[in-house]
Amino acid sequence: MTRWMWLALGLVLAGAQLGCESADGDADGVPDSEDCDALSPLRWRQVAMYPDPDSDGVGEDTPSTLCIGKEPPRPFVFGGGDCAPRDAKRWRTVDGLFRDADGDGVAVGEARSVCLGAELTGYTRTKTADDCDDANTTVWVLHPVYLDADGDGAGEGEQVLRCGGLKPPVGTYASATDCAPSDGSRWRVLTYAHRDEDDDTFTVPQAGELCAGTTLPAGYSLTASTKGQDCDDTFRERWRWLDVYRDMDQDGTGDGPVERRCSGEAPEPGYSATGTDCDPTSGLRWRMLAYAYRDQDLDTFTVPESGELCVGTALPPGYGTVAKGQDCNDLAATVYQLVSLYPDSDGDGVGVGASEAVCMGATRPNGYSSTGTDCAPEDGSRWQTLSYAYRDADLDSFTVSETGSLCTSGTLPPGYTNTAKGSDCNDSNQQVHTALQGYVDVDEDGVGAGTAELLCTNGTLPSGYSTTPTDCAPEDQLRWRRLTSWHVDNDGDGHTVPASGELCAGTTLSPPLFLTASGKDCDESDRTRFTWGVLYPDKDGDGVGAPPSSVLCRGTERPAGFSIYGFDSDDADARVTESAEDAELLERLIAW
Amino acid sequence: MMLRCPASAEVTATYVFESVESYNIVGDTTSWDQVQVTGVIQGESTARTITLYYTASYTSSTATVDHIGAKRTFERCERLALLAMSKPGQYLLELRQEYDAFATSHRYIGCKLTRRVP
Repeated sequence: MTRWMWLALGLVLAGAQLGCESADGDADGVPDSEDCDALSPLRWRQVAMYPDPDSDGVGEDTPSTLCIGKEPPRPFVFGGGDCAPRDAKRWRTVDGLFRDADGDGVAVGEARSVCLGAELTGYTRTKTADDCDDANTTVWVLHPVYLDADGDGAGEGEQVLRCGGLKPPVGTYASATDCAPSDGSRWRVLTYAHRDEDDDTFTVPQAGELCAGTTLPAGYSLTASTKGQDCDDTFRERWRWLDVYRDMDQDGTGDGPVERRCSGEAPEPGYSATGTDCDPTSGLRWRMLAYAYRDQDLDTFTVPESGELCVGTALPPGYGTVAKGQDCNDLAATVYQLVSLYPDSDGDGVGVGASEAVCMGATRPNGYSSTGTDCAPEDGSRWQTLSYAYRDADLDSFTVSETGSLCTSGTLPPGYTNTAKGSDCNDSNQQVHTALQGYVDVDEDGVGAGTAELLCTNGTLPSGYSTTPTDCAPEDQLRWRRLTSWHVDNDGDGHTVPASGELCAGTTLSPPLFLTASGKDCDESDRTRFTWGVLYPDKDGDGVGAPPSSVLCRGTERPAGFSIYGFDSDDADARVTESAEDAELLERLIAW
Repeated sequence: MMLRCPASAEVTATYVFESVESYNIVGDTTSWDQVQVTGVIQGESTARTITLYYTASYTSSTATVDHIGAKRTFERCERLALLAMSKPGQYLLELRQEYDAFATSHRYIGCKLTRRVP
């Protein structure tokens, strides 16, 4: 609301109040005549109010008269004078303050009036000195210091002022002591008493000073090397005195007078720790080595011979300390071993006579053999004596017993053997060899007769002889064997009876004689009867007879008056063959 | 336990009776029961007696067992013998001595009745 509107409202209310002198129309406890808003119970008094836009409790400088109730309406407050009406944190003006932005208690500048809130944040009432850096709580006063441009912890150069706290700022120093202002690795002077210029870990006594850092640099020390004193501190490879010998041929072994020279691990080139070079003019030989064996022909086989040679790494070929065999000829590489051999003039591999000691290589020389048992020294096809126990002169493979020995090629020739085969009955005839006993078989029926003869055969008796002498009919080719039993069918009915005695026969017999039985004839005189049969008299001729039975000799025909059946219950009546009881008994037997 | 009928019956003797005069059943002797049959065998001139054996019982590993197969065969042959005896000449009675090829000590009696024609 504007000021004019408030004034208008106030006039209206005054008019309304004039119209109602002591009434309280809005029941707010204030008479209408005094009520600045007789229509509202919430407002009854006029008060000067100050707008407070930042709601910090202090209003602006210029008040406005408002009709209010118990509490003022927002955003008005009872007091004014806010020095920062749009800043809730500031509302009052304090005089005589000094700026202390970093809050370290040290201010800067002149005293001034400041619009603040409850606290004096950023300001202070007193000032003892000017804060050299009011943006940093840790520093506030200037210190005279020296800078450390090379960062080695020692100051150098011109003195300067730097803002610090109780102490100068880090990185500055109270004094300028850096002996090497441009070198961060060196800042102080250190003394040394020993030098190792060539960096070979051996030192020489030498005192002095130098600008260094934490420790003395390499090559300088306060104490001597425990290894000893360097005989030449300008040469890394030399540090100790050695007794050496001049080594002109540089084979590692010198000769001549000893010299004391500054050396390293080993003597310098051209010198050696030993002075025993047996050949100072040759780099390939420097020491004496003993040998015990020679191999002049270099066939690896040695002869004992001892001596010494001036050599290098090893004895040269042909000299050694280890024996190999016993070379029978050290001037010829192809031979090296002495072997006892026999002369073999016929070259069959087997010698003869007295053995000779022959110097040979890996192979036996021609004309000699390791064995001396040649049974035929002049014949190259025979050399070994073999014994035999059997002969086969006719070469039919069947032998005769005969012992002896032959000079052979290693195997017995044909006709001589140590394995028997049979017993040749005629070793001069290749066709026959096996003795067999035979009997003359005149009729050539395969069975002979007479006295036995011993025949020399090819394994089989010749024709006209047999192995058996039992021919009972030597002149009859059809008969030769004796039979003691046979069968006879005299009546020719096809049924035989046995017969015995002595009969000379062949493979077969002629009827009525037979080799095997056919039936058993009960009557050899009657061809119509040949078998036994049980028959019953059939008196009534009805085909069924009755006991007693008889066993009669019969043929295919039944004798008249007889039947093979014997169960006629009434053999006097041809009408009856069996009784009813018999039939009933039969039925019972069948049903049982 | 009952023995099966022999799967392979071996015959040691066969007799064909043209007439049967007697059929004598003899009790247990040593190992088998026996029957003696008297009569005229076909082709022979006089009667003679033959003896046939059968195994009525046997001893297993645990007990003595009736040989039902052998006894039943024997009883049926008995019937055939009776038939032959009751009708002299009507039949040829063939009797066989058999044994079991798989149990050679077991004996059986085999028989065959053949009707004769005049």
